[in-house]
Formats: sequence, C-alpha cells, structure tokens
Amino acid sequence: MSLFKARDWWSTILGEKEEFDQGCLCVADVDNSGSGQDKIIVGSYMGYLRIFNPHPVKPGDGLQAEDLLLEVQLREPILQVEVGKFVSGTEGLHLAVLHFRKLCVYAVSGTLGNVEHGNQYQIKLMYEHNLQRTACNMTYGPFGGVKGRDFICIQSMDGMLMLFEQESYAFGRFLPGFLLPGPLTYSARTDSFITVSSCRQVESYKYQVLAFATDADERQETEQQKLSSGKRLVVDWVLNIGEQALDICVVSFNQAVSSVFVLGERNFFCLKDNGQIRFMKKLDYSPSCFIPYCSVKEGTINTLVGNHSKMLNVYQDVTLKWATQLPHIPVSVKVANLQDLKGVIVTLSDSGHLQCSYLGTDPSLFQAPRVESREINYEEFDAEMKELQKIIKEATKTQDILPKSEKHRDLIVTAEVSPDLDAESKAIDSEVKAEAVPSVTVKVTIQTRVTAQKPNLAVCVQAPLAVTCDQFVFDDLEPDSSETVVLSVFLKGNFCPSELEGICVVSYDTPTELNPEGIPKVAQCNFRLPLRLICVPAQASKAANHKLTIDTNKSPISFLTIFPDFVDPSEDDQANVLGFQFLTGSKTTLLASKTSQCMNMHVDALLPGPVSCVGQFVN
Amino acid sequence: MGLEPLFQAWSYFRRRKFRQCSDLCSQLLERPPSEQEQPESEYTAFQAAWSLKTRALTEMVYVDEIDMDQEGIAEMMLDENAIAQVARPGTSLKLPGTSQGAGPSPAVRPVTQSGRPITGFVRPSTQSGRPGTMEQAIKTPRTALTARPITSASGRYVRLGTASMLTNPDGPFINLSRLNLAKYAQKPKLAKALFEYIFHHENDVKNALDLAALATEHAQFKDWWWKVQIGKCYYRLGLYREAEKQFKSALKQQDMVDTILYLAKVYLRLDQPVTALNLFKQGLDRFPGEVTLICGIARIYEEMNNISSAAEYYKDVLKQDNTHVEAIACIGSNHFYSDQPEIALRFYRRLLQMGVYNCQLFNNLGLCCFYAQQYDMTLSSFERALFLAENEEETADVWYNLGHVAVGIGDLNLAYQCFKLTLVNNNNYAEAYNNLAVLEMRKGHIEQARALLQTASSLAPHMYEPHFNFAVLSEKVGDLQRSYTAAQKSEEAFPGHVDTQQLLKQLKQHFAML
Repeated sequence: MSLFKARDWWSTILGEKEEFDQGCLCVADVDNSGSGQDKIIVGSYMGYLRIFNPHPVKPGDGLQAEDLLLEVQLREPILQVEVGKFVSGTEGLHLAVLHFRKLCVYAVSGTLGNVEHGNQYQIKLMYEHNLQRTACNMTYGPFGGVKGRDFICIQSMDGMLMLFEQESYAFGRFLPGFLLPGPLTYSARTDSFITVSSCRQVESYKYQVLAFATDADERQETEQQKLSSGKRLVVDWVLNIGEQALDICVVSFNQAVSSVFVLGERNFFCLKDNGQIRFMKKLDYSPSCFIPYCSVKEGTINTLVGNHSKMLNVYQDVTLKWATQLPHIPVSVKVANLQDLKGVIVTLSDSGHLQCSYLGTDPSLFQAPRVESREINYEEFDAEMKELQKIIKEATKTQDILPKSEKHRDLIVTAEVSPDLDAESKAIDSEVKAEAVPSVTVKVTIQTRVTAQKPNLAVCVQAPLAVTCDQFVFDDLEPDSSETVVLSVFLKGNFCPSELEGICVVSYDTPTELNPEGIPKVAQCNFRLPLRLICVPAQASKAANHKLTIDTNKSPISFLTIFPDFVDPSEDDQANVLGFQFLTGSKTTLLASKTSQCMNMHVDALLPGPVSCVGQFVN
Repeated sequence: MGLEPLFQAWSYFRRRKFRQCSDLCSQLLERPPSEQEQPESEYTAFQAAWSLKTRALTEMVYVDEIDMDQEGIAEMMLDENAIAQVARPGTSLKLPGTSQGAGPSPAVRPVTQSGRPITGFVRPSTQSGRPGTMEQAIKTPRTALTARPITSASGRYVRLGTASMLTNPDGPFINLSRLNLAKYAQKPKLAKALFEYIFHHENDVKNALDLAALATEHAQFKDWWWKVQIGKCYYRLGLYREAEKQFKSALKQQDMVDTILYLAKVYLRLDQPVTALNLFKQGLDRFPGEVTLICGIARIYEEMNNISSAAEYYKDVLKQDNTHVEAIACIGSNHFYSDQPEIALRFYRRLLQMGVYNCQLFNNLGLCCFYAQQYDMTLSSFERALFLAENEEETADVWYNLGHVAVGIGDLNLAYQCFKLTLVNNNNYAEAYNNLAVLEMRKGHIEQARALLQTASSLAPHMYEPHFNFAVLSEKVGDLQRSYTAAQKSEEAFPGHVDTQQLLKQLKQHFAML
C-alpha cells in the first residue's frame, strides 16, 4: 500500500516471453562516450543482449528507435552482465557477459552519424574463457589491490570460485561447506570476498587466503579434500544471520563509513567491515532486490528495496523515507545518471518490463468501483418508504424477532383442577399402603385462534404422583376451536412428593406465509393439586420427634384461609392447631402461636416431602 | 537453448515461484544418482536439489511465528504459569482495568469482554480477555474473524499441517518416520532447511525439536539460530520457561530483532507485561528505530489500558514508517473516542489514500464524517461499507452504526429498522438489543423492552448499559427488587457511572423507608 506511484519516465517491454533475473541489468557508460552518462544494458535468459540510451521527448514516452543502441542475439542464455576495466592495456570500460560455460568480454563502440539516427554501435569480442563448471554468478573488482584493472571472480553451481585476471585464468578454489550458491561480492577495502552460504552465515574470505589455499585443479583434488591436507580455505569472519540472502552489496561512499549490506529473506542488515551488525531492520514484506546509494544526510546511507507487493521503499538507514508503487515486481533495481535526467530509478521485472522512473507525488489512481446507488428523488423515496413501512407493520404482526405478549397468543391451554376429590378414585396400581388412594380430576382445555396442525398434549407431574393418561394427540384444529380432555392425578409411589404442581405442554405446528408446512410452537400452563390428594386431616399431637419453628414478621394467618379443606369452618375460627396424616404414613402437626409471631411444625420423621408440601401451602 | 535445471530452479526460488521450483527439483531428484559430477565429495547435486525443494515447499506455507498467537480455551483456563494470583495493579494483562489507565471511560468507549476498551486494529489476541469462568470462556470470541471459539491452539496447527499435504498429492516429500535425524543433525546446511520444513510444513513439533536438539549439540551450543528454533518448539508445546531460557541464551550470543520479539511473546504469554516492556526498551537501545519493537511496546500499553502511552508509541512508529497501517488505525480510533472526530477523519483518509479498501475503513469513515458534521459524506461511506461487507457480522456492525446515526438525526423509525437489521444479520448483537429496548421503552412497550434487556444482559454481562437500563425500567414500573439487583450488576461492570450510583442511593433510601 502506498500513497504514491513511481512516475514513469521511460519504459519498454523487452522481447516476448523472455526471462530475466537479478544479474541481467547493469547501468554504466559502457561505450566510453566520456560524457559520464550511463547506458542501460540488459541481457535475457534467451540470449538477447540489449543496450539502451533512453531520452524521451516528454516523460512517459515509450521506446523510440534511437533509444535502442544495440541488440544482439548471443547463442547462449545470459546469466549476468557487468561493466568494468576488463581488458589489459586500457582503462576503458568493457562489457563482461556470463553464460553457463563461457565468459565473454566485449568492447562496445559507436560511430556517430550525421544525424541522430545514423549512429551505429557495434560490439567486438575481446576475449572469452570457457568454463569447466556451470556458472551461477560473478563479481569483479581490483583483487589483490591492483590499480586500474578489474579482475573477475565467477561462482559455479557446485561451489567453486574461479578467478580470472583479465585474459588469463588465475586459479580456482572450492568454498567449504557449500550446498547452494548464494550472492557474492567483493570488498575493495578489505580485499575480501563476501558471500552467504547455505548454513545461513555471511562469510568473508580474504583474497590472499584464497590465493594460497589448496588448488582445486590439481589431480588429486578429491582425495585432498577428503584428507584435508594442504591449506584449507579459512574464513576471515562469519556472521550467523539465520536466513538465506538475496543480495549483498558493499558501499563505500565518502561521507559514510564503509559497510556491507545484506538483503536477507526477511531482514535487512548493515554490517561493519569486521562482520558486526551496525543496524538491521525487520521487513514485513518479501523483498526482491535492493541497492544502497549515497544519501544527502551525513553518516547515513539510503537504500532502495523492492518487494513482491510491487512497491519500492526508500530507507535512510532504518527509517522509511518514501514508499512508491511500481507497475511490476522488480527483480533488479539500479540508480542511473541518464542523458536527460540524473538519479533515475531503473527497474526490471522478470517478464521483461524495463522502466525508468522518478519519484513524485502522483497518487496511485485507484478507481473505487461504483456503488449501486440510485439517483435521489425524494417524492419517489417517500412513496416507497410509506409502502415498505406498511409491509413491515403487517409482517411484524405475525413474524417478529421480538417476543409477543400473552394476549396475542394463538393457542392457549388451560387446566382446571376440580375442587373435590373424585367420588370414585381412579388410582391404578398405586403402591401406597392405605385403604383408599384418592385421585383428583383435571380438565385440560385447548383453545386456538389459528390453525393448529397435529397438536400434542403432554401432562407431567412429578413422581411419585402419576396421571391416568399423560399423552394426548389430536387432529388438526381449525381456527377458533377448542378441545377438552379429562384426566386424573393420584399418588402412585409410596413416598411423599416434594411439590404438588403439574404442567401441561401443547406442541403444534402453525402454517405461516413463509412456511406453509408450518413452524413449530409450544404453549404451556401449570396447575396446582390439592393437598388432600396426599394427606388427610388427623388428630393433632404435640409429641413428636422433630420440631421446626418458622418465625414471621407479621401475625400468623388463620388456618382457615390457608387450609380451607382441612379445617371445618364450623369450628372455632381461632383454631390454631392442625394435624395431618399423610398417606405414606407420616404425621405432621402445625401449631400457630398467638402470642409470639411464629408457627411450629411437629414432624415425626424428618422427611423432605411432607415438610415441603406443607411449607408450600404456608408460603 | 534451455537453462541448466538446477540454476533455473534456483532462479525460480529467488523470484518466489515456488511451485515451478519444486516441480523442477522433483524432476532433478528423479534422475539416477550416477549423473552427478563428483561422487565422493560432500557436495552432490542431488543434495542441492533436495535442499532447494525442501525450502521451496516450506516457503509456500511459511507464516511468521511471531504473529500467530491465538489462545485456545485450554491454554487460557488451564494455565499453570500464573505467577501471582492477585497481581499488583498495572503489572498484569489479566486485570487490565486496574492499571492507571488514562483513557476514556466505558461510558464513552465500548469495552470488550475483559474490560479493555476496543482497540483500533483487530489482532489475533485482542479479542481474548482472561475469562473468569469456563462459561465465559466458551462464549468469548477468540479469533479475530469468527465468534467460534478455538478449543486449543495446537489443534489448529495440526489442521495447518494437513492443509500442506495438498502440495504433494503423491504423498509427503519427506517421510519423517524414516528419517535418521542424527545423521542430518551433523550437516548444518541440510539440517536448517529440514528443520524449517518439519516445523512449518509438516507442523510436527516433536520431531522438529529432536532434530534441533541434536543439531545444537553438534554445534556445541554456539549457534544461536538453533537455540531460537528450540525456543520456538518449546513455545508451541507450551513450555514457556524453557523457551525463555533458550531465547535468552540466543540473545546473549547474537542480538537479533526476531529473538527479542520471540522472547517478548513468551513473556506476554506468561503474563509478564512489564518484563516484556523492559525487554523491548533494551532492544530499542540496541536497534534504535526498529518499528516492530516500538509497535510491540505500543500494543502492550494498549492491552494494559494505558491508552495515552500507547498513542505516544504509535506516533513514534509513524515517525519511523508512515505507512504503518496498524499505527494509523489505532491513533485514529483513539482520537475518535476522545471526541476529536475531525483528526480521526484525517487518519482514516490517509488509510484510504494508501489503498486500504474494505468495509471496516468505510464504516469508520462514515462515523467520523457524521460526528465531524460532514453529513454529505456520511451516507455514501456507509453505502460503500455495506457494499464491501464480506460476511454477516460486518453487515451487522454497519447497520448498528447506521442506527446510531439515525438516532443522532432524530429519525427513530429509521433507527428502529436499522437495529432490527443488525439483529437479523447477527443474532447475538447485545448492543443492538439494548438500543432496541430503549426505543421500545419510548414507545411504551414495557414488556418488549424488558425481554430485550434481559437478552442483552445475558449475552453481554460485562456491559453496564443493559443492566442500568433494566434497573431504570424496573424502577419506573415499581419492581424495586429487580431494579436493585440490576443496578448492582451495572455498578460492578462500570463502577464510575454516576447515574447508577444515584439510582442505588435512591433505591436504598426507598428500602430504608419500608
């Protein structure tokens, strides 16, 4: 993500379906024109070598015929191009081209014609070396401190460094502990080669040590390596960075201290000459290429880092100074002084898009797609709004996520408990050891306002109570109809129940507009059974095993109101003693005290059943 | 005119074309071994291709360990690493509300489950608090995307491992059970690539740990990289103290930003935020200006509810890297909640210019525009936010904000519909239930309001608004007992709420009179 786009000064697409990688781009004054202006040299994996000198009439122009100085089809893939003083006897710059098994050095020269498009450029092969091993990349520099000449060092795919002193082959050395090639560079200040090995370490080998180490070309090379006799290649310093590196660059500008820059896969390091970290920066993107260049601020170095999100970041040491968007993922980036513009950023993508750009505040033109919104016409909107609101109102009456209050219920179920016990007890299979087990009738009514499909009624009471029939299935009910069923409840088990409540649940399907098959709904109601179902009045007794005292903050209510079916209304209104005999056998007595505001309960066995039943009533 | 296959594969790897690289390496590996150049030397082309393919497969699924940190329920509830049961205020991430936070109160800025104010940038661990009970833990959304809780972090890693099997339909490239780890541990150039493969691609922490232990022994404990990897394995296995030891030892050998970040992650998991802060500050001495360290400090301050310090550090981040999305978003939301919507608007506009284009940004832009009184942009921003919403939760959020805007302009019908739409998209949106209840109260539908408030308070017991509203409603109706209990819950959630305290005082007076 970035605010700005790199402004396109000049760009072109090279060939068709050609492939490029990091070493394929180089900028230098390769034809020794003397004006100090750089030319862009590009070599592709298809073997095409092209040299450009862009001078667009106005920024944004594409390739003009005069921009392309030279285009040659070399027979083999070009791995890397470099420009340096590679020919003995002259200090002019020459072009070195690395192929898999060959190193060629060319001289590029041009003859000026009368008009601009009469200029002619040729390349002449100065010398070439055939390589014993497949090459990977190369570096160059004044090895051994020579002045005015550049030597070349080539790294092969199997880890041999082959050094060429211009026209002659000097020596070859194997790198110890090698597996896959890493980036290679030469530092003139310390006269050493720096690379990153497969052990994820930055290693530096001095040129002198390389020169005196075991020669790799001797006959007994393999045995010597196994026996480790002779001078093994000893590393000068090592820094374990913990990751592979994409590129290394050594910079020694005047104001800044000489440093080694390493672009790892996730971090970016600046090392001193002895291998200690000067600074590092963790990158939160995948970098693809970089180049350090001179900074205006003293003591710092600016770096351009390209990444796989098509962005180019400009760092001053570790501070991000600028971020710009590129049109492609750069595999190589260089800073060039071209004919009409100095300090141009040259980037090359791996499919052959070559672009020269400069930094500007061109905003990345991001066209947000249009949202489907309609034109504003208030009258139409008002009418539509009214209609929609009407529909919403209708809909909320029947289907709404908010809960509806009771009176709008579609189906109501009620249960009526008859006030008297059944004349003839309907108790079946009761385990209670008493002569007669009473039962009470409960009448359940279902009233519906809407169509109820397949209504199912279930009546539940807690054990040990039981019902004569607890499941009822009805036919579909028409709207505004009702159904009634009758059932009896009695005490089945031989122990006292803990509560005397029952619950009726009706589940049914009701069809709606959206769901004609019907959505399930439930209605329920509770009913309360009389205490008479499980106990009979008995003689009160003061003697008992356990006594519970309940204190109240108000005067006790008379037993007539609490237990109307146990107290004979003809008796004294102030009756304050009441005895209960449960069907299961236990006895309880309730005494209300007139003086103190408390009620005593005497039980002969502290069973939860009787206590809670009576307690419920008292509550 | 073809390229040498190994070179071609190497070139693909550099350009991150991992699929092509891996295929090419497979072809190379299928060649009979007699075609190598030097049969007796240590180097073989076969090993090189093998190593390259391993690295390519790993890079395809590589995720930076520093970021992934989603705690599952098991890690949270069965945490045996607790240092202090009752931590001093400001020293624990589990009790964020007790720090000397200088930020807006929950009356102004919404809070998450754990009592921390909502941050401006959703990260893997910002949703999680430290829930008190198992029930709360199950209800808390743990991932940044969905509300489904992860049961345990290790389960997720196993699933990542199975996902990587798709890269090799013929079966795993490296058969771990037949691997002689000791042999590989002696060759550091192969072992490092193999370790990353086992750790990231196969997600087999145990084997990776074995390899790393053998390798670090072979390197005589001088290689900091192996110590860091062992530390990572221990972290995954939940052995935090051992991981801490390894990272510290690695840090002594070589200062690296990554090691500092891993160590800080361990400290945060051990609930030692102050130690992590000190570590970051030391790291900043060594690597001044490192954005990830400053950002780490800011995140910790935010988790500890110290919003002003967090804002300061985010500003530092922006000085170093002004394209840092997280810093911009957090500073923007801080300004919004401190009543400076115009400044917040500037920050969000910057994000828009940088090319961030998603529902959340437009939602925030809409809100800022509305509160900054730039009414022309409000509705179009919200429209775009709705258009960009990727799932129902985002749509619900946008509708909820639209409801607020509608309340602000006085159109209660619109507000009602907006909140209903929020609930349609996300049935568990507690805030929407609360707001609907308030609207129903105004219309006089007490029963509806009560039901809605009860839903809201059961969905989000940490929010004080539903409790307070329920208390007010019950008091109006005359149900003082319920009002009192609700008011107490509201006070628990937000002790500084003046209205709650007044209500409680009133109720207490009332009860005393009875």
